[in-house]
Amino acid sequence: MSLSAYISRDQRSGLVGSLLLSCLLIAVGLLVVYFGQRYQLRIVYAAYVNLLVVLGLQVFMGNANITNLSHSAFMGIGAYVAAICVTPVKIKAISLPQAPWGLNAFALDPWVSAFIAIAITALLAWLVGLIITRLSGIGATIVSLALLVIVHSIFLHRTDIFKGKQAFFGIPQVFDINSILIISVCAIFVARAFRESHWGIQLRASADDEVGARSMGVNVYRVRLIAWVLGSVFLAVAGISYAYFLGTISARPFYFTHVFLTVAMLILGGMRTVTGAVLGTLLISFGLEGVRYLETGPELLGIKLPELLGLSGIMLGVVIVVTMAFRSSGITGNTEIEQLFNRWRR
Amino acid sequence: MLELVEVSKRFGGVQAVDAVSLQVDSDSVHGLIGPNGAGKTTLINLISGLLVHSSGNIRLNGRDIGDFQAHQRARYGVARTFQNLRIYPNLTVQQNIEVAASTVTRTNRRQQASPVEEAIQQFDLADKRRLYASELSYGHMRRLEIVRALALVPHVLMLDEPAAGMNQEETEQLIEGLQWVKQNHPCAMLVIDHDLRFIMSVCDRITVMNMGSVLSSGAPADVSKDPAVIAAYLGEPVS
Repeated sequence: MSLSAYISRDQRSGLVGSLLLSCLLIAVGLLVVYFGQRYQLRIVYAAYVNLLVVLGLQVFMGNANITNLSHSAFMGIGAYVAAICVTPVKIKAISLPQAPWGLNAFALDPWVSAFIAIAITALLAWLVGLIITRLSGIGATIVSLALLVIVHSIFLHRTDIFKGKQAFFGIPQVFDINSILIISVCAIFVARAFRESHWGIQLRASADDEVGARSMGVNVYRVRLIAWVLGSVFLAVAGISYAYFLGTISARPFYFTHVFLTVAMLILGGMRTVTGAVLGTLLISFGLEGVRYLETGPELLGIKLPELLGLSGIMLGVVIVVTMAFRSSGITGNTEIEQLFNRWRR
Repeated sequence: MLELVEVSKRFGGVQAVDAVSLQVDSDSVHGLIGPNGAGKTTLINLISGLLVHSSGNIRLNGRDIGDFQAHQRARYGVARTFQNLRIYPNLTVQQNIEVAASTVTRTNRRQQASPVEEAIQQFDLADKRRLYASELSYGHMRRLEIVRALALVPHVLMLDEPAAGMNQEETEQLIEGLQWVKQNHPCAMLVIDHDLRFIMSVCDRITVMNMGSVLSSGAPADVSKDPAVIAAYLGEPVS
């Protein structure tokens, strides 16, 4: 029996699109692996971790059209749970001597730790999702913001578990650029498969017209909850990938600056599409590197530029303002990469 | 069969629907007419579950669906269109239809064959499947709403002013389309419209509402001659 008997035309189109985006990611990754320097490898790794976050955002925020600002908190939960589970007992005896519930008395295999981190993040997301998916508009956004603040506060003040402002060190560095490449490619396929699934289409219908969707049999709360929990899995994986590469984490990266950065990536690329998520992440990740270079006051064409500290933050704000003002649907709008190719071929 | 028994709806001090009883057989088209503010759309909202009735019973094929939420009623076979279009503009025509088709329960699917593919042809949407709904003409958007409702494999199909904003030719095509539905995929149809010639040509029975209550009910020819209906709504008999 042919493939078309099992999957719809949109789903086949989604497979092609995922494949094209994967090729783009792999090409960038291989370029850096073979021709880049070590610091560039770290930049690409960070970009691909952010891609996981932006894809997680796209799954819920992009398809449901509900602004979520709590994603960095879920990334942090994934990172910390994995770190607590995987860090060797000898190191935890030094870094977490006061840890409750015997958290410093065991160490698990990295894969088991990752699985536990994903499960706990998804469970917490499900609990929060029971509230947040019943809200829409400003209500949902404010609740998600409150959630970010709560989680960050816990990270900062439960120093016996999370070490507060200090670094949580000693996490085995089990991931490299190849790991994040494989995970990113898988994430693209999953995000696109969800977008083209019945749930994804129902969710996008509810984003266009909630009453219209309910009247066509869509259980709006349920599809939102599914997307919210799936999105949280992406965020947990991003947190785990971050911890497993750096070997050290702290609470600071899982807060406002990161929220702002990743939302800007999704808005610039276009939050309705997976292609937008990928494009926005790559453009801002590499664009920011250029801006950071300018910040240092380099000499260009014989002219010494002044130091422009804080330029990267300004540029991020400008990107959001300009995109929202002139093309609120982002660069890709409603168009996925394979649709763009099809138009170009015609 | 759709059955309403003494259904009422009160918004604060306003009695929007007052003890309305109505019966629509599974293979008939029932017209619902009346002046603006008569409670016609409110009644449809009560049947589809977008509003909760204050009292009375709403039954479909003998089962009380009054406690079902809107999406549960749709899955049970209560389909509708809207006075103001509620298509999904960022989805394609095909995806708009898939949204409804994907929610049909297995039981419903077993009971009746899906009319979707034939309906797409009948309502002239076959060559527009890949277009975004926002790219359609107004007339085709109206048709898409009807086909999308049919994708629910409905036991009851409610059309809220389907001919509104259509020209004469489009209205004629709509009448043909509804007659096709009646012949090929019979279900209880409830149609609201202000175009009385359209109503007279598609409906087997008509109920006239005024101030939230039923003013008159019966065959189109009888209702159009009812002095109370003429005084409250028609102004003059409709031929």
